[in-house]
Amino acid sequence: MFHLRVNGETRMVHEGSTLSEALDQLGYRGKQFAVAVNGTFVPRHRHESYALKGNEALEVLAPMQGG
Amino acid sequence: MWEIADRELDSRLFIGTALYPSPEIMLESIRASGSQVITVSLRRQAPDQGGGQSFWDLVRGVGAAFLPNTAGCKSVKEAVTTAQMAREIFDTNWIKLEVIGDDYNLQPDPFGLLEATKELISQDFEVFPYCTDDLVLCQRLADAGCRVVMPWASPIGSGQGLLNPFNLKMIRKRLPDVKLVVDAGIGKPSDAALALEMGYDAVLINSAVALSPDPVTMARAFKLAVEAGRSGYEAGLMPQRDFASPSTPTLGTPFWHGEKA
Repeated sequence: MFHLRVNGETRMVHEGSTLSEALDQLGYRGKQFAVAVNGTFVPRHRHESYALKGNEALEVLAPMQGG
Repeated sequence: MWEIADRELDSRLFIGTALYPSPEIMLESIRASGSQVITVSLRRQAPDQGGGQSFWDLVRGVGAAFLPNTAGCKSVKEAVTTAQMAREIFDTNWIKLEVIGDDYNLQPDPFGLLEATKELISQDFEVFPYCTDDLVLCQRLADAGCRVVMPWASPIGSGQGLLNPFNLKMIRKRLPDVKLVVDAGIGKPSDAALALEMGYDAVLINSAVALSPDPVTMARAFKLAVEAGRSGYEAGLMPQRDFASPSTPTLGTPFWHGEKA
């Protein structure tokens, strides 16, 4: 297992997880969210091949009301 | 019909989706406003909350174009990353670009805004920059490739209306080929009408409707005000004078003062 910071909170996922696998373990389903790793946007088509090393900061954002 | 950023619209009213008493009132207000462009945002989402999905299900049924914003971003990098994430989620290259420079009045950072604008335009975004009513800033944004510029009327959510009509008129006069939208600070329907009378192409409102005790009726009031303001602009305003001029013909006035008894 290794640590990730997900939306500011420490979470654990299996070591060697790709971004796609990590999101699955964290419970993110569907398509209505977008992800940035260490402040850089990672498009959905790269989630499966994006290898995590541990201790990355993930921002997972979803649609919300706005003005 | 009019055209903005390659999209044809009937309505000149853009409306936000925040601050309503309930999702149902939000939807009803959007319908009453006649708006075809709604602003939306992105926020952190915990997987067990599911709020993002339910909001998405709600707004995609409206049938309006999405204008995602970068609200809360204070740096160029934050704004660019948020815009990229919004493009993926909402499947649009439109972005209402906000780079905030001051926490107290949420005043845009003109330097960061211009830098982020250039970067996003290089990435094929259609940037709708939320900016102050500074003529030179608006010119620089247009020079950078913005086909739309959105100066504020007054600080976001203040409801103070058009604090500096002179600045807004000057921007309209100097940027005749840019689509101009007054964004932020509009508090009442007459503010919107005034902006349209000046020749602004549209207004973007949220708090003025959502915070009204009766948002749905207020949304309709804004719809009518925008239509009235635009019609007034298209018809052309009469010249102002510093003296009175009677509207009733003076010829044949009874009891003419000039007559001697």
